[in-house]
Amino acid sequence: MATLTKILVLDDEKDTEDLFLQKFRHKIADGIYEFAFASCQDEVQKHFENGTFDIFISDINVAGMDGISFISQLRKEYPLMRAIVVSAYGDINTLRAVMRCGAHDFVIKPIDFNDLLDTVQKTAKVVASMKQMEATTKKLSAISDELDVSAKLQRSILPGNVIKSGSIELFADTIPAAEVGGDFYDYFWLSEGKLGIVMADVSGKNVSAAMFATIAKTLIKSFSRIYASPAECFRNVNITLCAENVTTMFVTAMYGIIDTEKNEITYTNAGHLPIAVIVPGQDPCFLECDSGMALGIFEEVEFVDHTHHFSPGETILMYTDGVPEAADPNGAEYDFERFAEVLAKNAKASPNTLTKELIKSIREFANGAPQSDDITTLCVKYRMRIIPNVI
Amino acid sequence: MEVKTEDNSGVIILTPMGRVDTSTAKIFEDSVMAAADTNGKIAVSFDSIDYISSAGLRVVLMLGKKLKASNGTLVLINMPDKIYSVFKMSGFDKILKICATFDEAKPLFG
Repeated sequence: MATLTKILVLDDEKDTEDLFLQKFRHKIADGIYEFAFASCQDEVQKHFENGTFDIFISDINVAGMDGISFISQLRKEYPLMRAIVVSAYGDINTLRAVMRCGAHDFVIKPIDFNDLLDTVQKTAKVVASMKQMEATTKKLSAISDELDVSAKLQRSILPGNVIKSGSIELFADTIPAAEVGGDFYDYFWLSEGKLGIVMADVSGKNVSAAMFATIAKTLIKSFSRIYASPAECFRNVNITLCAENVTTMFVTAMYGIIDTEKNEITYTNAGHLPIAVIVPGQDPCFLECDSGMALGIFEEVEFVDHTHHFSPGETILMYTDGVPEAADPNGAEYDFERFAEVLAKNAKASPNTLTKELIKSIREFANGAPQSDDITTLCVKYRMRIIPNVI
Repeated sequence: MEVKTEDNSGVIILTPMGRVDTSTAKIFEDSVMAAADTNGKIAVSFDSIDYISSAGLRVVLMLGKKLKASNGTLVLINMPDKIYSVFKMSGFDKILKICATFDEAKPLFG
C-alpha cells in the first residue's frame, strides 16, 4: 500500500489551488497525495499547528515576506520535510539563494505540471526513505536500550565476587557475550558455617532471560531459607516456576550447601553441568549426580541430594556451558579435555588465579572468534579445619 | 541454518542442518512450529547438526508441548552421542521420546 504524502502549497495567486487539485486529481483520488493550501505565512503557520507535512511547495516571491528565510526556518523546525521552491526568476542568484536555504528542488513559473509531478514524486520518495531511516534508527535505539537494561539487570542481581572467610575462599565471575544472556551465580550464608552456592543458566537472551533469571534467583534464595535440603528447595522452586511459566523458558541450575563443620558439600542438580573437583596431585574430576531436569519445565520432577566430602586443599568449580562450548574460528569447541588440563595445572592456585588462567586459556583457544555465550564461573577453595589429635 | 522437511508415510521428518544456537533458534522455531500447525506426527532428526544450545532445546520443548496439547506425537531420532548428552544433561530425555532411528520410532506414531 502506498503511503500518503502530505503536501502544503504556499502561493498568493488565486487559481493555484484549482490548478493543483486538477493536475494532481488522480493521485489525490488514489490516496497518494493530500494537499493543503496557504496564501500567506500566517496561514502556513496555522496549517502546521494542526499537523506536519512531508513536502512544502512555496513561491518565494509571495508579496510581503522573505520566502527564502521562511523556508530555512521551517526546515529547522521540521527536518524530515522537504521544500520545493517555485519562482518566476530562474537566474543564478535566485538559484543560489534557494540552494542555501536547504530547498530540495526548484521549479520555474509558469509551472510545467509534468515537471512538477515528476519533481513531487521524486521528493516524496526521498521523504519516505528519510522516514524509514528514522523509524529504523528508533528501532535500533530501542533494541540497544533494551540490551542496556538487561545488562544492568543482569549485573544488578549478582552479589560481589569474593569471599574469604575461615575455610572458604570464593571467587565468582561472569563474562557476558555480546548479547546479554541469562547466566547467574549466587552465594549466601544460611547459618554460621553453612554457605549456599548457586550456578544457573537461563535459556534465551536479553530482557526476557534476565527477568526470568531474576525470578529464579530470588526463588532459590528464598526457598533455601525454608528447605534445608537443596533437592527440596529445587522441588519447590520448580513447582513455582512451572506455575508461572507461560514463555516455555527454563533454567538449568546447580545448588550446593557447603558445611564447614562436616567438611562436605550437599548439592542437587537441575539439568546443569557437573561440578568440577580439583585436588593437587590428582586428575580433576566431575562430580557424578542425577541430572534432574532444568527448572520451569515439568512440575512433577524429583530432585536428589548428593554429598561430597572435601579433601585437603581441594577446589571446586561451578560453571556454565560457555566454558566447554567456547568455540574457535573454525567452530571447534574448547571441550572438557582442555578444561581439565587447565584445572590440573592450577590445582594449587587461588580461586581468583585459577579463574583468570581458565579465561586466559579459553581466550587463547577462541583466537579472536566472537564469544557466543556467557562464561560464568564460581570457584571455591576449601581449607580443611585442622583438628588436633587428642592423646 | 536451514530445516529440511520430508514426509514419510504421514510423519513429517524435520532435519535441522548446521548450528542451532541463539542466533539461529528463531529460524528453527518458525519452521518446526509451521510444520506442527499442519501435521500432528513429527520426527526431528539430529544427524545434520553440529551443536544445539539451550535456545535450541527450548524450541524442541515448545514443539513437544504444542504437539502434546493437540494430541500429536513428537519423536527425536538419529541423535549423535554429543547431542544426546545435551538432552540427557538437561533432563529432557525424561519427558521427550528419543529413538535411535526412524524405523524404531515408527510404532510410536500409531
